[in-house]
Amino acid sequence: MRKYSHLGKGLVSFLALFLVSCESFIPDPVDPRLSMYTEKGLNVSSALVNDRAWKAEPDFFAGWGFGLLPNHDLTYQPLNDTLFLEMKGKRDSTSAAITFIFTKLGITNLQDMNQFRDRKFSIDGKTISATYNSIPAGEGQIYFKHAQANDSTAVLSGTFGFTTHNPVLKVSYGRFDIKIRKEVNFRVKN
Amino acid sequence: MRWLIVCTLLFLCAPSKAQFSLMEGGNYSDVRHNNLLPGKRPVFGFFTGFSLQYYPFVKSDRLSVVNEFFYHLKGFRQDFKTDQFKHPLHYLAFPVLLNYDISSRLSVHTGCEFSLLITANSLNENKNRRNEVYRGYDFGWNAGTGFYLLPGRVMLFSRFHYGLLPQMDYYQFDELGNMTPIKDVKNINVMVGLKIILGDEKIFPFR
Repeated sequence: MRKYSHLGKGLVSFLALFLVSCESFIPDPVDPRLSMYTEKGLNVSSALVNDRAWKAEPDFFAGWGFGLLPNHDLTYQPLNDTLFLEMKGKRDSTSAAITFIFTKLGITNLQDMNQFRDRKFSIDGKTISATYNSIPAGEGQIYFKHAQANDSTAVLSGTFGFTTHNPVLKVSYGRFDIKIRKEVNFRVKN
Repeated sequence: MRWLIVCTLLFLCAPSKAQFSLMEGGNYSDVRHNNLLPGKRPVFGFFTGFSLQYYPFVKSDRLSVVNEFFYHLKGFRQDFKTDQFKHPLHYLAFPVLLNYDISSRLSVHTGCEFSLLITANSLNENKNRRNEVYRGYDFGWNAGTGFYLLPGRVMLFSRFHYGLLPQMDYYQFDELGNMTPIKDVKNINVMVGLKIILGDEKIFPFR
């Protein structure tokens, strides 16, 4: 039994190294409560919600296998030509999701995400809407500064900010850097 | 640290032809910025290194040139309601200063400083990440004064450093997420320290 103890230590070390290398939250140099704006597909997003940090970063999971849950999902509904971009994060250790809903944009697959590059969308509640924990946004915007996509993956990076009216919340200085993979966090739902 | 003591003792005992000093001290560091960094506060840092002083001007033995080489920890911190973040900036500094001896004990100096950024981190309780948005070097202006506590052996000096190059190359965001590329954040600090003179003989290299 003793001769296998080094194997256990090695496995623990490997797991520790793996976890460290997977840590993707890089603090912003201007406001370190938030993540730094990057265009690497780190699957990180953050914002200030009423001046307190909301963060979404990959979660480690272990079961039959182990890996990272991206916590950022893109879902397309062809029936009403609607795209849902969901970022599942936490604010003060309480789960809270930010969702953007795009309708009638004609984006049906991952490669079409290239059309998002350098585009700002105003949140109007009709074609573009957003929610914070299912609370609908009043006004705001989402800006895709960077979009690079092919058949199977898309890296989307940008910023967002919006307000909600009931209750009044200010989601500000938002930024995201996400990697969408086909069959992992991109789904077509009828 | 042990080798430093040994070297110091060797230099103190051995005859030397250069006015060579060991310099140590603390600083009060801050950064100037254009309304960029929320909750910014100054921090205390330190420096440690060496100084070489020589008298190249034949007609004036009061005027001298000082070359220094030291490690300099500068930076700033940011205080928010619940979090505090430190931003240590580690530099290797190479100032070239003109020194004028007002009296046998008192002197003033001014000059420029070139420094290389070794690393820049954002630190709080559990995060330690290198920020890649900092410029790798800095250039600034220095002015200060020195006073011999022990003539020919120990000098107390203070210096004001004014960084001239923006150190951060990043974006400024507004609340909605509109981004503007910026080059901002310049160093500023006050240093107070001791120079322990290891070799006290004035040299005139260009005579």
